[in-house]
Amino acid sequence: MDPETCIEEHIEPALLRDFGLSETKSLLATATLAYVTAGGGKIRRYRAFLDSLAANERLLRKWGPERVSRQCEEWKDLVPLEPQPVVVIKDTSS
Amino acid sequence: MGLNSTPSMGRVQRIVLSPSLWLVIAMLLSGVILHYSAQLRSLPIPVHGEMELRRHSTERVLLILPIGYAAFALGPTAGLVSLAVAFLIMLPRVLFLSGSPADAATETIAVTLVGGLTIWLAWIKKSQEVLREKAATRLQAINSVSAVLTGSLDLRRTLGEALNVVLEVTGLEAGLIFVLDEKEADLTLVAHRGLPRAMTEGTTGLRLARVLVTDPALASQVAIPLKSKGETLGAMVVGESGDRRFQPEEVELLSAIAAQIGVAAENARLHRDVTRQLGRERRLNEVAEGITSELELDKVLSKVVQIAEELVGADAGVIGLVDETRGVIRYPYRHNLPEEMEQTRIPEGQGLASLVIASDAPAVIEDYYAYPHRIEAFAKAGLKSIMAVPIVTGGKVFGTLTVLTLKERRSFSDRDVTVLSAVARQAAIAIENARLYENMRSFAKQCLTAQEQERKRMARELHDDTAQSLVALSRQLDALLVNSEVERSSPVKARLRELRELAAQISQDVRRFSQALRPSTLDDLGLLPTLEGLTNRMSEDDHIDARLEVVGTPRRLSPEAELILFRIAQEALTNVRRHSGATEVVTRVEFTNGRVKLNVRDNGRGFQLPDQAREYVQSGKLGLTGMMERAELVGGTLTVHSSPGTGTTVEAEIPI
Repeated sequence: MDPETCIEEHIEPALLRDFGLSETKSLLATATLAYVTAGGGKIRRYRAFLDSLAANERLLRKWGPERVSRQCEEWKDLVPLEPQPVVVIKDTSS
Repeated sequence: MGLNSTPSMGRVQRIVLSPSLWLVIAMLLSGVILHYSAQLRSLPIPVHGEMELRRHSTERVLLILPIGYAAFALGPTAGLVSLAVAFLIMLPRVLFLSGSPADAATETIAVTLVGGLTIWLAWIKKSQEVLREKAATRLQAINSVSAVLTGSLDLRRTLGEALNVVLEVTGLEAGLIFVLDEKEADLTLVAHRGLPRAMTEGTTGLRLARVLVTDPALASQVAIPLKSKGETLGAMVVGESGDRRFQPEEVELLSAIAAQIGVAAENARLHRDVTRQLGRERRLNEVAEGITSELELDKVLSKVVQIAEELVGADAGVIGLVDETRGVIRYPYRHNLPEEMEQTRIPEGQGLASLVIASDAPAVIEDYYAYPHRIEAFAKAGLKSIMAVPIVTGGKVFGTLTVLTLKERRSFSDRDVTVLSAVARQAAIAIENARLYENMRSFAKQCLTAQEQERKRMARELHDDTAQSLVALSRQLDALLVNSEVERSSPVKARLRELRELAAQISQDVRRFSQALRPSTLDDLGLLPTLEGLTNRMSEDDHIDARLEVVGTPRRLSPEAELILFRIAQEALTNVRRHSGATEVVTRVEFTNGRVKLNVRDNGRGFQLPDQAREYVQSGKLGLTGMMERAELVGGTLTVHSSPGTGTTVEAEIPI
């Protein structure tokens, strides 16, 4: 999944549910600053975005470290580091 | 000078044309001639006979000169080239010609080592120069950015110019600067260069920031957070479309510039905050002034709603007031509310105002649509976000001040809540003042009513008892006058006649006094006949041409309004009789829609009016003050126009 799609379709709605509009915007703005200053490709920036969220005190206070860690890992998994190899299995029996 | 300057053809040309190069070449040629003088006998130069060198140590040593000169004058590279040439010059003699090859080889190695040492010294000197030059360049770049940043507090313009300087000194193609907005909820693109126009059309948005930094125009980039006092305020990204490896000193320079930009952004933010705070205080002062100069609650609270909207940047506002008698909340002061909301009746106990009044605490709903206790009609009318604070003073909650947005959802900060609460406190003071004023007015009304009742009672007693007793006395005196015994005594008869005339005079005075106290015609026939009687008596008794004019359709007014207008006319006509010296006075009553005007105009000597109505008391004009107070008791006004020699006009206007 594209990082941008992941942010808009998964991360933002999840934050909105628990934090409300203004708090969510603030969390995303801080994480976006990390994305902007991370350098590198989109995926590396996306990782920096998630790292910033994972270190955010407001998020940690409300969700607790375990949930933050688990949630960020889930979001990380949505955007794989490298393109997934496609394995074609040919039926050689015939 | 740019950080990324490289050797060019121009530099080579400068070296070729340099006299130092040719001097080095001449020194090397001289060395060749001296070193191989025996082998160069055919040349027309004086190297024969006694001048011929045999050990060749001297010219080897002399070859150090062009090496050193080239290293210091033309650079370490030129020194290395000279060293190589000198070595090649010395090598054939060492290998083929020298009678003492070991000595020759040792001397050649020694010359090469000394030459190398000289080149190393030259290289150190050159490196120091380069470092100094780079430091000067960095300092110059930082100074340039500083000059730009301290030139103005307009963040966009300042950061745009700063970005120009950064790109100029780094030789990069593109750059952008984002800053966090004041609520730290969005990134604003305040400056950008070298990026596609279509990409930068939006100026805010986190998505825009994420997209822009991965644009091909910034394929090689340096991104640095803008910080001030440890707080990140934004980011600066500079780069170019090609492949480029940034040197540490370049990153260091950009970091130094970014630190300066961070401080400038913080200064601009502080300046903006101070300016806004001043604006807010000015508007709050306006509210406070309005409250102290205006006792009409409607005007004050209507203004309060508008100012509250303006201060927090909302689209509409409303004040809800607790109606204690009916136990409900009324919303009499509304501004910019959509028609659908205006027409919606909020069920009792529902709505945000009830919640705020019950809790005596502010409430903010950023997404009204998602609010579980929303009123559907409001959501349909486009209500997006809402903030309400209690209007409270002295522990008593009067109602709520609410602002709302209709165009888009927004968050309200703690500062917004503080500002709205400050306005609400002013509104509470206004309501409290108005209530005190209303209580005072009600008390004054009660006093006047009691006074009028007492006058009425006294007038009736004078009319019914005293006047009747005087009539009885007059009749008895009449009876005595026709008595035969009295008829015979002229002195007694004269005395009785005098007594009867005196009784008649007292009776007339008592009737007049009774009329003045409270004319019975006012209750029985109304204002106009009573005023007519008043003016007629004035004409008869005081010989002043007094007239009554009526404009509009005459009609009976409320007993209170008729009494107040009568008392004003009575006081004005008394003033005319006592002080004006007028020969003519016109009393005019004008009936219009919803109002009655009473105008008493004389042609007397007039007088100098005090500058302000409140000075009437100090200048002894208690009658005028009383007239004003009576008019104000029923929500009316009274104005006096006069100046010496031009007569006086008293004009009262009251609502009916």
